[in-house]
Amino acid sequence: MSNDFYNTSILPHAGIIIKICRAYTDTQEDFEDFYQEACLQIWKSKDAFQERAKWSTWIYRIALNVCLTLAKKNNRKERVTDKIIESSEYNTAFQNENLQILYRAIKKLSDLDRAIILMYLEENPYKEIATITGTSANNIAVRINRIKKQLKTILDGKIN
Amino acid sequence: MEKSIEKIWSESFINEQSLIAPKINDLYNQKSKSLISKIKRTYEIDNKGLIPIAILVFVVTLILSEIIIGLYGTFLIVALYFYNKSLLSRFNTIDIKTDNLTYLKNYRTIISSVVKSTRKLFIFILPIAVLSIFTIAYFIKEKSFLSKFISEDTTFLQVFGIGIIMAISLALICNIVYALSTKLVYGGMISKLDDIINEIESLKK
Repeated sequence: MSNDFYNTSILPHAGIIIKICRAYTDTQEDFEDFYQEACLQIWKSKDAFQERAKWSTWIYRIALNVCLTLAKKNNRKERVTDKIIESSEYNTAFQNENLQILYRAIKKLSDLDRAIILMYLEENPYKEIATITGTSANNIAVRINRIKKQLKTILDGKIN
Repeated sequence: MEKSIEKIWSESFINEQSLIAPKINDLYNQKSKSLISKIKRTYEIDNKGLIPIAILVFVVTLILSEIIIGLYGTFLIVALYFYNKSLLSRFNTIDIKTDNLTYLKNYRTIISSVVKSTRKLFIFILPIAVLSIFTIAYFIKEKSFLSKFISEDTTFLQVFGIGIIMAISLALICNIVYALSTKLVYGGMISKLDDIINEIESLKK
């Protein structure tokens, strides 16, 4: 992967890749692994990109697929969501305390629900979320409502 | 009043500068470091496994009163241990300060040379070792456990002939077992190493 490709095609969208990777990892080391793998896969699949979709959607889809795959592998080893082993470097990445609490809550969701709520929070239209996840927009709307209720229960009283 | 999750999200990421991307240059550092140490550790454990085998050979041959052959066999296994150790010491000669790709490629080259050397050992040295054991057994047959199997009128050529058959058979079996065990124990790790090398090479294009 050339630096040019990384700087011009990936770096401007690094924010969303980081947000996704953070939702699927518990340590800085894993986060960096996930991020790097996502970048690599984006680069590898660049030739398959069709102009019909937006480049950002394409990146989103690949980053999500990478995270879902790697998270599954990691889950097999050990599920650490409840005893979050977070390095100080990892903890301080997000300064906002409410955001840290929200991320912890998101991590308690299933892998697919995490993906859906992240796309929803990033203001992706239901139709696009449905396209990326391979379901219908109606299904997504119902699911998002359910996830929000679930998050509300987890976050109850924890957010300032 | 509690904030909605949408509000927390949008407020937290107003300044997206807080999202610092990891250095992409270090892409394979972590991956390759753990893989390399795994391969190295497995090789070392494998080699250390020769020591209990040498002790076992010595004890068994001692019980069978086969002291000379026992000592010789033990010596051969211990020699193999030191030979392997010297092969593995090549791993320490790789300059860790070199770039990732050069480091991994050097590592891969050494792995190939270790496999090649071990194969040569099974093809050329093992038969000689087996033949020498048969030769020793023939000349010390009076004091040897093997004397039960070597009668008075057995000629040296006969013993040597059986030795040659045994040597060739053992060389063949050892080669097959070595190829299989290398594939089973190291195959996955080596192919991962090759994958990483290929990926870094394509990254550089």
